[in-house]
Amino acid sequence: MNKKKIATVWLGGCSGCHMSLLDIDERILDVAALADIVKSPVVDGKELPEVDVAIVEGAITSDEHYEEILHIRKQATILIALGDCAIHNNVTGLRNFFNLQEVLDTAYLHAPSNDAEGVPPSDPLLLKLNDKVVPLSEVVDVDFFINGCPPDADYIFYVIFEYLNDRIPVPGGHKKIQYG
Amino acid sequence: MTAFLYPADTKKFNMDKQKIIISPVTRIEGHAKISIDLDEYGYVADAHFHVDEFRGFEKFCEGRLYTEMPVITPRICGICPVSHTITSVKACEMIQGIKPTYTGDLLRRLMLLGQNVSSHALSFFHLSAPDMLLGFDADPAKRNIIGLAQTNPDIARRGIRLRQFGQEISERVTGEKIHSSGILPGGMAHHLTKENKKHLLGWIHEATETTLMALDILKIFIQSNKEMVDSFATTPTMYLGTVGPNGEHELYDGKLRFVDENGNILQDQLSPKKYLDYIAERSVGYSYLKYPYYKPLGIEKGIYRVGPLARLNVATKMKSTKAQHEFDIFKRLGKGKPVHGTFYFHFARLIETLASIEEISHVLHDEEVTSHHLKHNGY
Repeated sequence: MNKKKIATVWLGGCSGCHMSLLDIDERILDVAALADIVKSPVVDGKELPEVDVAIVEGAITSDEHYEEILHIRKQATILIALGDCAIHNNVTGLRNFFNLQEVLDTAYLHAPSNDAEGVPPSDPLLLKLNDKVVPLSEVVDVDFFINGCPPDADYIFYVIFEYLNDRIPVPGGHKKIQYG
Repeated sequence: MTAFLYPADTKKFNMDKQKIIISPVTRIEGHAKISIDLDEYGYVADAHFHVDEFRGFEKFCEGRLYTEMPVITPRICGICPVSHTITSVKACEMIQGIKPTYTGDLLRRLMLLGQNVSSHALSFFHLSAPDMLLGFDADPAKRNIIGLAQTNPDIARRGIRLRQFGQEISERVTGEKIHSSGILPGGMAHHLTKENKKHLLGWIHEATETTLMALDILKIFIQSNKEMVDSFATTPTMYLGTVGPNGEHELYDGKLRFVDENGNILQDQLSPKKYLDYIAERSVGYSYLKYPYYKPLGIEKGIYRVGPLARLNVATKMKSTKAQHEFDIFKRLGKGKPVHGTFYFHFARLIETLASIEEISHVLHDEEVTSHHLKHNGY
């Protein structure tokens, strides 16, 4: 059997979902026995090759996230939205109540700690923020949603493990199945 | 690392005219790019670290109920959510004019120390140890915690379990490992059961042994890479950290201490309420991160570092014996001055881990830790 490939991507979020993913603890070695983790914030792969499963944390906040999610959709057989920001914006989407310029000005010009000589971020190398934050499913088709802020580690493990064993997980299925 | 010695190998990198761009920067706790500008001969002319993420907390927290802050602010960072929750909860208590109960305070301290252990274990074992044990020039596909599990299974397993111990404290105290809702103004929502206390105490020996093992790994690495370690990012800066009333290392309830690059104490026992008198921030065009500095000296001279290296550089002593033993070794490195070598963040981080584990044990041995007197009501 060819070893599967898996990627985890962190878009606009707090990394709490990735921390919950690491909370599967030693079971990460069971995942690694079934699949190579080819791209993730905790490994050094920079490019996303074709993968069997891509797990995406966070909402889409910028031009780069938008391009990235389209690319992930193209490269991944299964795309999983990990956590509430990826599913429905959550805290990352709270800035949608305001005009983007107002949000940036508050942070970079008007916060009480700012000195008078600052300039707002403008380097072309930086990602360019979109006016509104959107969840993954507004841009691409998503195959599975793991809800929670963050989702339960057992749930994350269950979903990954089912896909890696060519089975289709069911929502909340981790509560019905005990491994080992 | 050696790959970046100049002149740059232009074929190896994504070259945009005379710019090397590293994107994304991996195995860090955050989103970043690095750009290196080259001159016409291929030598480094300038370099920038671009933090590439913006969320907008400064704006969207405005106008909301202050009691919502302990729920919203931990979402700044899922690695250190407890710090943000406790900071918000303390602010709520200042507004309400209340204090937590003794047990509530103990349990919060336990939560914060647990986070310190799990975050430091992540940093050392998952993110950094692959460089030390597999090598900076190891195959990038293997240079990670999974690769480490193949070459050094025992070390990787122990590292994963040390992080687990820190996370389990949160789970045993509040029922949740990340973004716990159990830390409230006035105290805590849940009590620690005797069973959970016993379970956590059962971890202390293993956690201590793992941290001592990590210290051995680090010391061996430093010994065999002395030249690199002592020349790696050694720019002198000021340091800011929290200390207890006698200058002892303190994570949960300290006051601010600033030291200059020679270790002279510039400010001590500063109330965090006065931070705006001493800290200012500069917005810069190349990064979404702002640059805080010590206001009285301005941005050039007042640049200061925080984190484990800073906290050990500002502290006079540690609160526990094993950590104090390592702290003495650390202090000798600086010969009476702060340790500026950035590589020594690793050493400071492991000393702090040891200190946190010792303090966790101390807190768990307090009879009141399992009390049900959890919360003062301020509403």
